[in-house]
Parts: sequence; structure tokens; C-alpha cells
Amino acid sequence: MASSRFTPFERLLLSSRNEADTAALLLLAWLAMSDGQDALSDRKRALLDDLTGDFRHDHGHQLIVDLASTPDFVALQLAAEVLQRYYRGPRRETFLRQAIHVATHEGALAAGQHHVLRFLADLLGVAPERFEVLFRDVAGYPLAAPEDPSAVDHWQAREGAEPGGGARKKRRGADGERFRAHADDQESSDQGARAGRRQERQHRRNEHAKEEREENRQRRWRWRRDDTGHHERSRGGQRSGEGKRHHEGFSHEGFSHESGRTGGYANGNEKAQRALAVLGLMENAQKSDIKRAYRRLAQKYHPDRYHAQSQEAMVTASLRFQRIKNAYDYLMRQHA
Amino acid sequence: MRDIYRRLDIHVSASDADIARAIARCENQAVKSAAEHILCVESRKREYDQLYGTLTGIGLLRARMGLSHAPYWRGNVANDFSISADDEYARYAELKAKVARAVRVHDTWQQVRRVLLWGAGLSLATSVGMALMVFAPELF
Repeated sequence: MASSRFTPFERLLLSSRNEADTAALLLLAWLAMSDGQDALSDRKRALLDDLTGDFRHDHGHQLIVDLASTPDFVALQLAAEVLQRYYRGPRRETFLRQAIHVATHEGALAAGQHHVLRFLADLLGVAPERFEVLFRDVAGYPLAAPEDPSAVDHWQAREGAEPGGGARKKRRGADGERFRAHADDQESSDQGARAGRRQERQHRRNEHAKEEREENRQRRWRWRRDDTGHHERSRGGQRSGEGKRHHEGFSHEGFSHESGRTGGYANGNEKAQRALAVLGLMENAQKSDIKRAYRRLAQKYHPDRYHAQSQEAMVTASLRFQRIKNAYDYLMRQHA
Repeated sequence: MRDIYRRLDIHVSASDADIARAIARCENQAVKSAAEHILCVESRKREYDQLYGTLTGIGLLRARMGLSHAPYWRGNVANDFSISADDEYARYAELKAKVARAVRVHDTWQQVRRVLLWGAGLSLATSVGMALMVFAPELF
């Protein structure tokens, strides 16, 4: 048990006329704040004012803004739990629509907002396919993969593209390069894991096929949007959408590739810790705990369960399962 | 998004000198070049750190709320920012417990107050009666 005093957010929640709305407001404020800019702009403030008007509660939003800009993850966790508890059925989608509106209000999504949005979708149990439809519906362009500021190419592409007017073309080229560089990086890093590499190649082929289908769909869809007069909006988004899909396939790299990397940071203890984290276990887990956790997760996430759903769901599920299995195998080797 | 700090085996708040030392020590060329490119330039580092903070928080929230295997948590991000589950979870239950405790304390205090008030009233009445008996016996 932590301290027995009530935190400011708990007081707010208790005094609110509607707990769920207060919680939703905090999460939306957090989403608005995680755009990478420190200052609270006037437009954002106006947006929050607007939102506050929609919700049923009796308090101002100053405290919420303070909590969201720090950000206070204890309060956020409480808000997320309240939301998960109260929002069911169609209400979840209404909330996600609001969230997408908040995030795309000031132009393109920032990298942080990408991750927060995805967290909210997972929190409310909305499947990626459904969420992508929602996003396209509200924002007017498809949901792209988040940018990766930990990659050198990201900065080269961005800083190279900033001054010129022909940024679009350059960016595309850079994306291609990033794709290749990323692939090289992958190949060189997992030494001797031949099976893994073969699997990856297979996976890449799948990705390409998927990409083509996606491209077709986008084209059809763009045509439809243009027809209905949403010309500029769809264009702007389209640009940020294409090209990024390239390396999305590689963001699926499994636990094995990561653990195969021997440079710099990865010592045995840390790898074991991460494997335990994948299985959702504490550090002092016994062999029997590991086995039990693995069986539970394997049952829950086995790809066969996703057979009836789309191809993409299958791929995601099998990658996730792969990660769980790799973690388990690693831990079993350690304990042997 | 990869966790460069973890790969360099340093903390986010490490000083520039520490970072430079860690980069020099690093053997993996890919990590090394990324670190040089990003952590040694002030503006890039600031942006990276901001996203790093957000992702660390999301990793924490996901671990505590059992969302570490949700469909949108995958790839690089999931590998680098997942943390092991700890004992801190169920904030809502915690809040409920706190409220229940506060209610109990409130009720107990109300009972004690009633007893105290009755006691005080009775003793006041008796003392007034005693005083009257002593100082004005002709009233009885």
C-alpha cells in the first residue's frame, strides 16, 4: 500500500460528476501534449476548452493540463483504468474518434502521438484493422508507421528535405535508402542465425505483396476522396503515408534477432530480464512459473486462433507468438 | 524507435562526458554511429529524449495494465521499452480502498462525536443541577 493520502487527480475524480469523462479528458490532454512541443499553444488550449465543454463534469481543466504536461503516469494509469472500466461498445469508438481528432488537429501526427494513440487503441481493445478504418475516416488519410528518431536516416532525410521545395522526392529516396540500410544492419547483426534470416526474407516478400495491395487500395480511396472534394487534406496525408510502410515490415523483428546482437549493451542478465518481461514475469521467477506463463500466453496468442481473421492479424499474431517462444526458449536454456 | 541509452548502458540523465565515454566504449558500429549522430547534437537529443520519455511511460503503463502483448505494441519499440511487471497495479482498486477507509474513519468519528456530545450534555446538566442544589436550595 502506498501513501494513504489522496492525490490531486484522485480528488478530482471523486468530486467529478462523471468519472469516465474526467479520465477521458486527462488522456486526451496527454495525447495533445505529447506532440514534442513544450509550450501549450493557444490553439491547443482552445481545443481543450472545446473538449471540456463536451464532457459532463464540474471542474476546470487547469489541473488536468498540469498533470498531462508533466506527465504524471500514476494519474494516467488511474485514468486509463477508469476508461477501460466504463467505456464499452460503441462508446470506445466515439472516444477514439475524439482522440484522433485531437491528435491530427495541428497537422501531421508527431511521433509521440503515434504511440499514445496506439496505446489508447490497445487500451480499449479496438483491433488495428478497425482502428485504421477509424483513423482514415476522421483524419482523411491512412495511419502511417511512426517515425523513428533513433535511426540516423530519419534525421538525414528530414534535415536534407527541410530547405528545398522538392522535398517530396528526396524524402522518398531517403526512405528507400533507409530501408536498405536497415536491412543491412539486420543482416550483419544476427550472426549465424540462418533460419531467422530466411524467415525474415520470407516475411519481407509477404510485406511487399501486402504493400502493393495497400497501394492499390490507397489509390482507389484517394480517387474517391478527391471526388468528394477533400482534395488538399487527402494529399497532405498521402505524402506522409507512403514510403514509411517500407520499413514497417522490419519493425516486426523478433526477440531472437535482438538477443542475437552481441554489441555494446546486451549482457546475459539483461537479456534474461527482457525475456522475463516478454513473459510478464518478475525477476525472481522460478522455472515452473516460466513454464506456466509460457503455456498461458501460448494458448492466448497462438496464431491458429487468429486464423479466421485477416492476413495481417495472422502475421502479427505469429510474430508475437514467435517473440514469446524465443523468450521462453532462451530462459529454458539458461535454466538448463 | 530504439533505446540507444540502454544499448550504450547509460542512464538518460547521463552527462555529455559520460555519453562520450560510453560511445567510445561501444563496440557495435550501428549503435555507435546512431549515438554519435543523435546524442551529440543538442536539438536532436532533445527531441529524442522527449519521445524517449513518452515511450518509457507507455511501456510502464502497458506493463502495469497487462497490455504488453497487445497488437500495437510490437517491433523495436516493444523490445526496447517493455519492462518487467512489478507489484504496482490496479490504481482504481487502490482508490476504492482508500475511499472505503476514509468512509470508515468518518463513521467512527461520527459515533465518537455523538458519544462525546451526549456525555458533555449530561455532565453539564448534572453540574448545573448540583450548583443549583448547593447555591439555591430554596428552589427545591
